[in-house]
Amino acid sequence: MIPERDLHVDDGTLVRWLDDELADEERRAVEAHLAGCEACRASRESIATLSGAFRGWAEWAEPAGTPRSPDVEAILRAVDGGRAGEAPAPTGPEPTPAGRPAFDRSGPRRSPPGRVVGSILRAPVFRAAAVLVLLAGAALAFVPVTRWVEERVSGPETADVVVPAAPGEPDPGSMSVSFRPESRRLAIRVERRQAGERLRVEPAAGPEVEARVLGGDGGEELVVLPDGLAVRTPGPSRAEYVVAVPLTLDGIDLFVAGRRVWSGLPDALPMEWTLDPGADAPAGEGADR
Amino acid sequence: MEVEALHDAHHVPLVRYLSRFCGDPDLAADAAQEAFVRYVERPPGDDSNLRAWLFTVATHVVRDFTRARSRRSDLLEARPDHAPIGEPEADPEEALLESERRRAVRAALDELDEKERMMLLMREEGFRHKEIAAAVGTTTGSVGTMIARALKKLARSLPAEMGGSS
Repeated sequence: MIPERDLHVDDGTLVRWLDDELADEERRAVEAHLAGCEACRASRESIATLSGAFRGWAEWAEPAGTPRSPDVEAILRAVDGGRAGEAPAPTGPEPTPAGRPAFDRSGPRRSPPGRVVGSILRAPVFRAAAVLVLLAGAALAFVPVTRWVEERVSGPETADVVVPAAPGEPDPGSMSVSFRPESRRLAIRVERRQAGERLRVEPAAGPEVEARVLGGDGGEELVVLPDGLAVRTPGPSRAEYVVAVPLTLDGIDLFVAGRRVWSGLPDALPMEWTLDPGADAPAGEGADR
Repeated sequence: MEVEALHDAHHVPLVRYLSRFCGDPDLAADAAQEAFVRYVERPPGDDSNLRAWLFTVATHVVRDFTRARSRRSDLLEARPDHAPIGEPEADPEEALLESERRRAVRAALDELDEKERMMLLMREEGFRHKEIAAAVGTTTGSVGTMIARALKKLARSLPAEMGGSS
């Protein structure tokens, strides 16, 4: 919803703005309003702060210890006939009948007549293949980053995402990329230019941690923080960075100037990002943040 | 998509999401397994967004089981070692503090309704509003409003020293 001159931006729209869910026209209207409305800027900061705080709350909500994860063998065993007599499985995200454990595997084995998949999965050759796949998966955990990235990221696919600096705020002079542990390997390449920034996935050369500035106008600095890596620059400039993190990623969070601009799984990471710091951002104001 | 590949790509974030959603790691693991089993048995006709499908199915499994048997409260009473508390700490005061934080967050999350909890945690996993809307059965345009409301509600349940507003 595009705010009229005398109306304010509602919280829902601010969340959509934070999550990059607004269409270009709507986003421009919201940002124009924010530039001239102190109350809405305060609301935006409040929502952004709560969004940031939720990350910590979510982690606290996670029970301590390493969660047990289902393995493929267990899944195949369950498919193999461990279900109690029950209605056919839903085709979509339908609720199971209430009153029984949805995953109750006790009781007589069920023969799923006509289920080709089930019969295939029961075949010894399939199980042998499954074991091989698991072993291969374990081996793949140690292959160079290049292969992992090549398998999962293709294209030159340009993400239709532009995250400008908020009007009235200085150029985002720092970019941080944080990585959750237990991850897959991935390389992030950041190009910082006069008119914008690009972030794209590239193969990494090896398993070692690598964070270096490839080029620029000078003064750029890569800083290792407890929760990730930050690129500090003296202001709008042109520089290229390679950040190769030898962790197996299960999630990536991208922050620009303290604002989360993207979060998701590595294989959903856009090949290329354009982060426009804002054409009217005064040079040099992004220094060392 | 082969179930092995699907499992490899999504089981860790799925179990993490479910653990946060219900606070019960065993239930989370079982519900995740059930979602993969359902994928093998009856995969969705539209496989364009299997991640969202998996998360939605698994959430419904947790919801149905929780509703049916009030499992979580039973577990917490019967198996205190599985309660969402911290690992034993060398410093008893720190251990107590961590335990209190976890309990406070768990209680605050449990005060949200299931849709609100699902929306916030799916957003945290990087889902787009369109995917969240499909999962909870609402319109894409209303997701932002519901997320903002849920965030504020959650903050009101948490003390200021934890970033809340109570």
